[in-house]
Order: sequence, then C-alpha cells, then structure tokens
Amino acid sequence: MKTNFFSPGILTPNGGKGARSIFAGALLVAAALLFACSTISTYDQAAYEHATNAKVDTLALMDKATGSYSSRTKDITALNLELDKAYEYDKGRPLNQITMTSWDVLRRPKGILNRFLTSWKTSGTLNSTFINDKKAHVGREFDDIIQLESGKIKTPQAQ
Amino acid sequence: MANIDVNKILRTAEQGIIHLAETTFTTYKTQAIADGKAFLTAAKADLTTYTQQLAMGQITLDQFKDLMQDEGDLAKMDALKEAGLAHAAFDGFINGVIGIMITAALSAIP
Repeated sequence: MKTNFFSPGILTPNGGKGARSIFAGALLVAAALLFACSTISTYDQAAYEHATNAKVDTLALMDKATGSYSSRTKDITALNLELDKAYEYDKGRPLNQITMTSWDVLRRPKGILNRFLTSWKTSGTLNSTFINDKKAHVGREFDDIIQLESGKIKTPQAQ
Repeated sequence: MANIDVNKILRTAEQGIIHLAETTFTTYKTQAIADGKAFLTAAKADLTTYTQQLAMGQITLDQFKDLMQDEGDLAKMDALKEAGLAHAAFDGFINGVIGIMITAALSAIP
C-alpha cells in the first residue's frame, strides 16, 4: 500500500483529486495569514468623514475670529469635542499610529490650531489677512490626515 | 504523485511580481516626489507672501513669526502622510505578490 500522501490508492480513493483540494486549501490559508500581516490600518469611511467634517467645521469657526472670542466659546468647546471624538475613534483602530501622530501634531497645545485660538483669545479679535493665512495652514494639516486615510487600502467592508 | 512544475510556478510569479513592483513603486515614488516639491513650493510662497503682508502692515511682526513657526508642523504633517502612504503602498504590493503566487500555483496544478 502506497503511503505517499499524494498517491492515488486507499488513502485517496477519489483518484488524487483530494490532493489538489488540500494543496489549494493550504495555499489559501497561507495567503490569509500573510494578508493579515499589514503594516498600516486599512481605509475607514467613518474616519474619513470625521476628518473632513472636522476640517470644514474648524475652518468655519476660524472665519468667526473677526468677531469676539468670548462670543464663540461654546462653538470652540463644541469643536474641541468634535476633534476629541475623531481622535478617540482613530485611537481605537489597530495599526493606526501614523494617523494618531498626525492628530497629535494638529491638536498639540503649541500646534497651529491651538496657537490660533490662543491668539484669538489674547487679542479678542483677529484681522482677516492673518485668519486666511492660518486657515490655509490648518486646512493643509487636515488635508494630510484626509489624504492619508484616502490612500489606505480599501477593503470591501470598509467602504 | 501530482506532477507540479514548481519552476514554472516561480517563473510565472516572478514576471508578475516584477511588473507589480515597477508599477506600484514607480507610482508611489512619482507621487512622493511631486508632494515634496509641492511642499517646498508652498513654503517658498508662504515666505514671500508673509514678508509682503508684513511690509504692507497687513499682519504684525508677531503674526509673521507665528506663521513662519507653522512651517515646522506643516513639514511634519507632510512627512507623516508620506510615511503612511509608503506603508499602504507596501501593503498593497505584498497583497499583490500573494495574489500572483496563488494564481501561478493554482494554474500549475494539473
């Protein structure tokens, strides 16, 4: 009796077709394991929406800086809450450290946005030229986060 | 024993992988270089713009310094984006290689 696993005979009564199935199955299992070894998170539609919505809301709030800071404290609090939520959502995703570091740069106390808010608070109001310059910078920061998310691999269930 | 031509599998896979590598990394490299040039262009434009605004009294000296300070964070953010996109390109390449190997192997099984 042949004992070669791939030989037709008593161990493979269907003429060796079982060997092909087993070999194919082994390849698929190996592929599944290797697919799991990603180096960065895959695309997440919710994360993309969080970032784009936050960009729009942040730039809209910055436009209000021609008016008094004290009249916008609720809006500023709401924006910070929105940014916190986007941050926490991304924090929970595996292999997402680069995006998290990007959020840290954007939100850090001495970062572009918070220095803008501090200037606004200190001065009371800001001139439109400075506001537009800062909006361009804040917009670019958000664009980097958004473009990174958009550039991640899209799986069928993530879209 | 099933007659599997391993050398044929490897030859087929190699050709597919080379093409995939050229496509993936040429695309990524081209985009990364373009992004880097865009950043330098924007930084140079910012310096010119803010200097003119300061000279014309449209912004204060403190605001000028603040805006120039922003360039550091902008550079960091761009670098992080490029690093992330490099990871995504690598992952996409690896996924493509696995797909090529599976296709080559399955097609070689008699």
